[in-house]
Amino acid sequence: MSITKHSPPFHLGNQGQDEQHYFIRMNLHERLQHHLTWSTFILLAVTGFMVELPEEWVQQFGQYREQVFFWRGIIHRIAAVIMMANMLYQAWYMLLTKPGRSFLYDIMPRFQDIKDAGKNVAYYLKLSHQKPRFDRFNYKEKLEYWTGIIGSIIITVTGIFLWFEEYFSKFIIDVSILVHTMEAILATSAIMVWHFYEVHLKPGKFPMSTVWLDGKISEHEMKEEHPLEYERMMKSEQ
Amino acid sequence: MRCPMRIVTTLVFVVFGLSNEAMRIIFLIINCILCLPAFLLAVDEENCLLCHKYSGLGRIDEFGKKHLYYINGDLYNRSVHGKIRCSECHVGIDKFPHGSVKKVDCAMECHLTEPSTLKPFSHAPMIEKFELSVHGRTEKGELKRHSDDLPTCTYCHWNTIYHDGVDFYHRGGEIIQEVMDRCLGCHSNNEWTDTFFHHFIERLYQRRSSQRMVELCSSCHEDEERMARHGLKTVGTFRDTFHWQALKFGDPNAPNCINCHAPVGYLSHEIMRRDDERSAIHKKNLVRTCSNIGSSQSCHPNATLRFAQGEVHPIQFKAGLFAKAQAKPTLQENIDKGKVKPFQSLLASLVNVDIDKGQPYQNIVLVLIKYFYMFFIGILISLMIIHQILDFFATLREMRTRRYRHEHH
Repeated sequence: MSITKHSPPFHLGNQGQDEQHYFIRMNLHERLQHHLTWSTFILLAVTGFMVELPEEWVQQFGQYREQVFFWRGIIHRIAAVIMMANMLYQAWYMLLTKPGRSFLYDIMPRFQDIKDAGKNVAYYLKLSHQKPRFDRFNYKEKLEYWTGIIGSIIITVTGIFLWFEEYFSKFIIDVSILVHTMEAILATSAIMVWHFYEVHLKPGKFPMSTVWLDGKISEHEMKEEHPLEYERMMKSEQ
Repeated sequence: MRCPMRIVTTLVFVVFGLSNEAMRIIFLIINCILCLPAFLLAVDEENCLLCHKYSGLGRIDEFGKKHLYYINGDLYNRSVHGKIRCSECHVGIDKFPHGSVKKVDCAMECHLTEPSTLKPFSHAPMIEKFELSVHGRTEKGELKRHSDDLPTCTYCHWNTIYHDGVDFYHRGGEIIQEVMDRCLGCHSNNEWTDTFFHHFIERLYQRRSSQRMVELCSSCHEDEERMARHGLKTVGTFRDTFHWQALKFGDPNAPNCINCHAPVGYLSHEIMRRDDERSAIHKKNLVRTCSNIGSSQSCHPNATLRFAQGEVHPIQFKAGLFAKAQAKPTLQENIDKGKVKPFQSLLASLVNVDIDKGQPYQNIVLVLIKYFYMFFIGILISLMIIHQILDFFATLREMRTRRYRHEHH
């Protein structure tokens, strides 16, 4: 059912004296994909929003502003190509590898996610004392993942229109400029609010969760955040 | 020498007053002997700067308008007209005080000989072309309506100082010396050669930076009232386009107003109405204008008709992060004139957008997309923020409970 069935060392023994158990939450492929995503995202956001700077701020670049503009465009395009390659890499991983397929299966949206979201908000508002029990990916992670995928596709397509502007009509270019910018605003603000809180600012995670670096999640966190997955894995191990 | 002399002359003015002819002659003689720098004598043959060099020289006319008659001789000397005597342009000055003098007519013949024809030089040919353009004040020999709104020569040209030539072709000032040395090989008059050289490089440069060019055109074309008098829209949305974004970074490829409205093969003095076939932005010429082949800029060499058609500064097509307020809608006017059909007007009134003749639905689509995103982003991000704040307090609550349990077991 899940990745853990196909990746034996999910339960990697002990670490030191306190018998701290940990699980692999992100394998090497997934970590590499994440690194490519965040690095290109930052480059694209910085070089992209640069053109929106007010004139007075641009003046601060002084004599270098022409160079800044030139390299801004080059870096934006290079990062865009890496981002697109990363999307193809993810597609290959999801469809053609066993851990990828199980990842895709686990992250598929289900009706249960809507129920979970309702239950979770009720729990936040103290209407219920029962916290919903999540599987490998909770509704927050699924929402972020799929909006990210859809947004990447939209921004890639409009970006290609803008890159090869002469082959399309002026109207398509106008729509593309609008959608490209709006999609960038949406993505950046969503990442700031949704993702940065979840992995950086949330009490207990601050300054940041280290899953993205070593891929490891502690047994305690596993029980807290992904109890269904934890139980399933412990059962399959026995 | 200058400072004490200024005190002396001020005293002279104070004590004897301006009308005292005898004092003025004495003053002139003293000045000629003591005060006037040699380099000014060379240009100012008529000695106009004798009075006009004083920065306070001016008057307030009967309408309360201030006139300043001060001329900075040093700056004038280095300006494009620096070698022309004052009376060449300011004709009819024959007495002191000058009284009412006619305004300068740029179409006048100069004393200069135009070297290619050996006839007296004049700006008249350019002014003739300009008068036929959309900016000209007359049409078929009659003054246009609201002709006061239209620019005069001096609105754009203000006897600029010659470009110093530094940063020519992205090189430092040394190239100027190299070229000058070559010129001086044959032309022995140093001063004349210098002037003539600058006369040339002035025309190899674009005199204004692109940003200043946009500012100049916008100084009229962003004035809503003035544009409305002529049935035009303001050009404010140019500052929403990628053209402007590149331009504010000083990209040499980015077009200012002139680059599209008077590209290669057109003169900026001959800008025509957009429905005139001689206009660079007439439908027939648009592909050539966008491709701009033969220019020093590389624009859109593969431009097609499909690419070139459409509004270049359209309404509301930009996300408008820092954009200025958009042009006011003129929907009612369009309905009144019968330009807009009822269904279009209904759609447009929903989104409150100006409908253009050529592309009624395109603007509506753009505005709908924009509003969809604005609402979508607003609602989604607000919900996300609320969700995360709730999560924050729930997590704190959980941590407290856990600590409590830990301490009591």
